[in-house]
Amino acid sequence: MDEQIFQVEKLNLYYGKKQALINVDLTIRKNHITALIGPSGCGKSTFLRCLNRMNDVIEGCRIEGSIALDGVDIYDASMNVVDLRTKVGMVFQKPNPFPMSIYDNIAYGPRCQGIKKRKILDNIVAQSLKKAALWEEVKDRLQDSALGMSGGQQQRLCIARAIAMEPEVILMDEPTSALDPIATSKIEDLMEELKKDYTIVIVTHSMQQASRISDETAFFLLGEVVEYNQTSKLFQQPDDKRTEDYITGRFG
Amino acid sequence: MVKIEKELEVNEDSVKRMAESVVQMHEKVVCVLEKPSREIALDIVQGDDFINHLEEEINDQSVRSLALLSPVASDLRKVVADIKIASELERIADYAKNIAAFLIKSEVLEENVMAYAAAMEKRFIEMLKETLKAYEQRDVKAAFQLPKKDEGINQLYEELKQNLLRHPNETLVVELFEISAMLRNIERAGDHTKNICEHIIYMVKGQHYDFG
Repeated sequence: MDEQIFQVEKLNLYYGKKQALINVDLTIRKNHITALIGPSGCGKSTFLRCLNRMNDVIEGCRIEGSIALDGVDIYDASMNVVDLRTKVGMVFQKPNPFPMSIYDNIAYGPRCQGIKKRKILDNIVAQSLKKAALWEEVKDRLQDSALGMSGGQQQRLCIARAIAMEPEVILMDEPTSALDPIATSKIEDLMEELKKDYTIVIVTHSMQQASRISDETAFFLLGEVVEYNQTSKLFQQPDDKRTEDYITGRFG
Repeated sequence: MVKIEKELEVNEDSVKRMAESVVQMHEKVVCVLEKPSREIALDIVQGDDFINHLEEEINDQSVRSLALLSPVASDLRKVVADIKIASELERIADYAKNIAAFLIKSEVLEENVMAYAAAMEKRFIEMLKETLKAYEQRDVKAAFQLPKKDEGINQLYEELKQNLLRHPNETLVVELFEISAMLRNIERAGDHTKNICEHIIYMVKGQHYDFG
């Protein structure tokens, strides 16, 4: 039996009066890749953002139900949101490196945590870049601006930046939709490698990407989880007719 | 209509066309068994090329669908099932060819043997036709029941074997090996038809069954 990392129960989310998530129950397994799929506006990105409380900053957003990370309710009043986001890192659709050097991008987080010693920072930067499969490409130009890198490199830099915080979970919101097939394939290989150490939850519009890389897939529709299944099962023999219609392109 | 649906339809038409030709080949086998004709037998042997060609066509169409349209779920199972059914049909056609080739080579066989072979062929053709109907109609219930019909073919095979052993006859003993090989073709054709039933169930339900 695989270990669970997130336990989501009866999650309801409202943006003002509009309900965006309805009674979501989901268990996310540790060291697995979980893909969230569904049409635009189905709530999959909203759900992803609940996992590190990124929705807190949206005005009028209200949440019911519970999300436990390692058994601790992350919406509990005693939860330190900064700590939570350290444990649950995030990578976005468009690579968003800081306008500073490659080195400083990675060292930014650890510095904020008070790490000042050059040797320790050097080590964190090297290890993070190695884990993000970027080290060989940038080791000789760590002081160059991150903005001069290619899109695919920038995205791996953002992953390295998340890794530098030693998270447990990495959330990815369509991380390859702005990348070409080669850069996409590098990120997918990287995810396969990363899941040994981290848990990954990814929102993707590419059904093939979900089927290629994930262990479990959740299909969202109109704010509800219609089906949550092993990826190989969901793409060969979905249990729900609506899942079948969506993944075979016969939706609506 | 989704593009994959069109492709699947084209492929299904090819499978049906192939199936019809295979049925025709076996119907011709019955004709030759009932009334020996070298001409029809040769026709059967030559018809096998067309079947092989159709199988290749179905494979190519399927590979194209897989490469270009990345089918999933029931679409994916349909593509896989069509490839497998085409390959079963190709084998079933080979059996018709084998029997025809045997009939061309051999002298006129004893009536009893011919009658039994014709009866086995007829049962087999009935089973194949119903199986193809089940394929067209996605009829899982029929696909579960049809394999039982194979027992009727095997039974006839056993009956004839017992008959021949009860009334041994010297010329027959010499031919027995070849006759048995010929009859075995019909028996095997029945087995491959059972496999088609398995593929129909997989196509519709996604479950694997083994009818032996």
